[in-house]
Amino acid sequence: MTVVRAILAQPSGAIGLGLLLLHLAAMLLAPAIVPQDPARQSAAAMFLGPSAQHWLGTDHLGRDVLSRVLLGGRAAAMTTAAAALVAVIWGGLAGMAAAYRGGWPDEVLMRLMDAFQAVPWLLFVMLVAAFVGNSAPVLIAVLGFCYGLQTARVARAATLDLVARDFVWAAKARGEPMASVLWREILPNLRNILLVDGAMEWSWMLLWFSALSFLGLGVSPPTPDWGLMIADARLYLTVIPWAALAPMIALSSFIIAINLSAEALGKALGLDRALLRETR
Amino acid sequence: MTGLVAVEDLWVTLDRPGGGAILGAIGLTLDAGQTLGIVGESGCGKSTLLAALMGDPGRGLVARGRVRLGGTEVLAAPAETLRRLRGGVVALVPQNAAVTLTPSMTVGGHLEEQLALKTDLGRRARADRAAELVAAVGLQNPAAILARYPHQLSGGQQQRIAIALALAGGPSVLLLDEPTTALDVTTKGAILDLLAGIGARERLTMIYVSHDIGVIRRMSDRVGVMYAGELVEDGPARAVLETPAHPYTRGLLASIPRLDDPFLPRAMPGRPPALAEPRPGCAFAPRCPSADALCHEVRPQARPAGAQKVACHRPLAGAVNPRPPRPAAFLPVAPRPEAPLLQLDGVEIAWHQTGLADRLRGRRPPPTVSGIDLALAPGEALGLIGESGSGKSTILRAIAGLWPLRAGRMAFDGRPLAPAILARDAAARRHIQMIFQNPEDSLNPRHSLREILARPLAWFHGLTGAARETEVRRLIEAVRLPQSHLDRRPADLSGGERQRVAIARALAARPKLLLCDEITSALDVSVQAAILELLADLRRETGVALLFVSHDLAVVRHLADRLVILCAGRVCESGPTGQVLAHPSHDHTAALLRSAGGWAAGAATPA
Repeated sequence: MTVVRAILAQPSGAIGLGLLLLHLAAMLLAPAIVPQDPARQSAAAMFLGPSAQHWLGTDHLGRDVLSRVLLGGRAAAMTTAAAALVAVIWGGLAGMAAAYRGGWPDEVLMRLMDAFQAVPWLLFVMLVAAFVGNSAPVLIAVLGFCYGLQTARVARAATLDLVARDFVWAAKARGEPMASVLWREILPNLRNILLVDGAMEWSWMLLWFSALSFLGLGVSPPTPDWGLMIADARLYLTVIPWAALAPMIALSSFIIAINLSAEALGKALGLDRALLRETR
Repeated sequence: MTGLVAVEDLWVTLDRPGGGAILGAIGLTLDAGQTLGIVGESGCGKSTLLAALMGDPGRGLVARGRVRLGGTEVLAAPAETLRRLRGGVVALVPQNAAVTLTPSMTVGGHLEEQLALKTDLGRRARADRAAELVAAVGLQNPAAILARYPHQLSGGQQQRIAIALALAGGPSVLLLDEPTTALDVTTKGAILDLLAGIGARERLTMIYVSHDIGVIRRMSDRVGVMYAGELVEDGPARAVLETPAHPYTRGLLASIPRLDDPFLPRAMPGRPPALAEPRPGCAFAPRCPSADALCHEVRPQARPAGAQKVACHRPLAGAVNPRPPRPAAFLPVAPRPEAPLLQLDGVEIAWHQTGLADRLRGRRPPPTVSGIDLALAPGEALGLIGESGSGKSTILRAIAGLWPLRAGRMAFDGRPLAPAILARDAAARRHIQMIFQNPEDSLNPRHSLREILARPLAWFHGLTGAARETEVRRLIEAVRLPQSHLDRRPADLSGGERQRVAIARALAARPKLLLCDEITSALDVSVQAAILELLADLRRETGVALLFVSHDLAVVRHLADRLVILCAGRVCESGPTGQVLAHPSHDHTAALLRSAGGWAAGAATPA
């Protein structure tokens, strides 16, 4: 509760959290409140401007833009949230263990992180999506893996600070095995960092996941999706700008909301900004 | 009010309406060439006083009252006057020179800059003056020193450069903020000699702030004692240190371990009040043995008592009371060398581990310690003494199973002791427990005290539920902390309380051997005394053996049955405590004895 109050005390935090809750509520309630079937096409209702019946008009296939915008974030948000969870768990564990263990496992992880910094990993994700398929589990795994490398970097840096502290030495001196030291002594000190890092990654993943959808490698039609909508509507930008602008505004405001909330959360928890910035 | 330094009714308060006082009613006068030593525990306002004397008490603070330095009113002075005053009339030697020197600037650059700012010498004259200053602070080959960068100097050399920088503007008042605290004992002695010499030669007025009474005694003509932001006692050094009138001064002096005193130092109950908290009456009253109703209600004014001025309603007279006959912790255990609890044979340890690059080049970093033989009888207390870097903590870590041996053998309880903790059996793990130097670092900030104490109970004894809770409560009581503390986190405790928790955690295992790594060096003296007392009691109660590492002979003297002195990574002397102290056979031991913390009565009395 005190943390929430500390977030709301910051103007950017209050705006971010408010916007985020609005988005989440809309996503949750969308199936119940959408005015039209988002998939229903109508040759009679193509390229319509905003009206009482279609608040945001219709697109080139005559589908209701408002309904599609309300529903269009669900797939992306859920996939990326799952991927962020995967990233935090595997990256956090790998970074912690590597820093604690040192030696060759640490070297391997570090070189892997360096290597992936050199690879344009969007290309990597596209390749995997193209060859293995773009089902949600595959996308979650591959996004989670790529972002997990970033989390591992953060977790490793934070753990390196912690393993030098005497309370970790004290646990080692009791003869406790690695897993128990990591779980009891290190993780409680890493929890806040991982939480904020995961939230930040969620916002970045949303952006890139939408880019994948835009390129046709993310969400498949007919599921409504912001990235797909932008891709479809870009051909008719001069005729029906609302069909592109609405999903653009929805996507960017959602990303900004997560980002502002995460940053305010970090500040509320008193985290070292430098440590979080190190990732990107 | 005359004198070179004249302070009258100086108050420093928080800069907001009704802000509490950090410093209260400070008054002092110093003539040219006098040295005032200021003692007090951490957080009593010593550093704030120095800052206020420089005209800037610090962020968020305001100073009221009068501070005159050589005829200039400091607190009312415009910025330009202050700028000329600082460095020109008054200069500060900081505690840690390493952080005040710019790493990318040579020593010559530092001095050059300071001289350009504070004097009107020409370029040539500045270079000459810089060399003179370097020579004046006792450094050989000034030309070479001037060309060096700070990291190319030793800690002692850096501190000398800091002194040279302070002297560059030709000040008449030198403020010294614990200038030797970060230094080794031998270096410390040299720096003190230098300061005393320069002070006498240049007729400098010095205000020397330290928590080290030995240093203060050696350097000062006058001593001021600060408590909770007030100058509670002020007078000639001898009078204040030998016939202290304020109960706080007495308590402080009694809590300092002394080499010439066979009794344990005596702890003061309670802890200092938080600064800036408004309070009626005397700040020391809650801890004072002779306080009465008046003390709790009326703030005492400074007034003469004997040779000194004292802010106390009930000043004491006469020499320091003899300490109560509290015997040191010697146990009636006859050492049985045939069955030692712990034995080290020819142990060699390297702090720097051999890296891949070293291995490829076929070389190894030199060992930190080598040829270490030690034996510790059950229930015995052994003091392991050495300067920083002598390898004493490394030895402890190796015994605790946290650092690999390069050569040699260890045995515990009659059986070989594996170097790696994970290779040891359950009994060896349980019976050797370690207490670390800094309790701020050795307690997990995310755990409550209950969690901290419950962990070893679960780990070593498999205790759960109510049985564990009972034991946790017993442990916290055993280290004289209230049970209500169990739900707190380490950050909510004072340094001394944290160290008690760390001791309780080690005791939870019911060990046969406690390894103590400088466990009082991060604490204030009055707290240190209480921890030493606790350790002595626990030893009597549990019969645990102690291996106590310290750089300070006076601290160990009361606890240890035997001493082992380390120098340069080897044992240079060992024997029963009394014998080593009375007849040191090695030069290094003698040097340590001379510079031992605390103070020896009669020794080094200022002329």
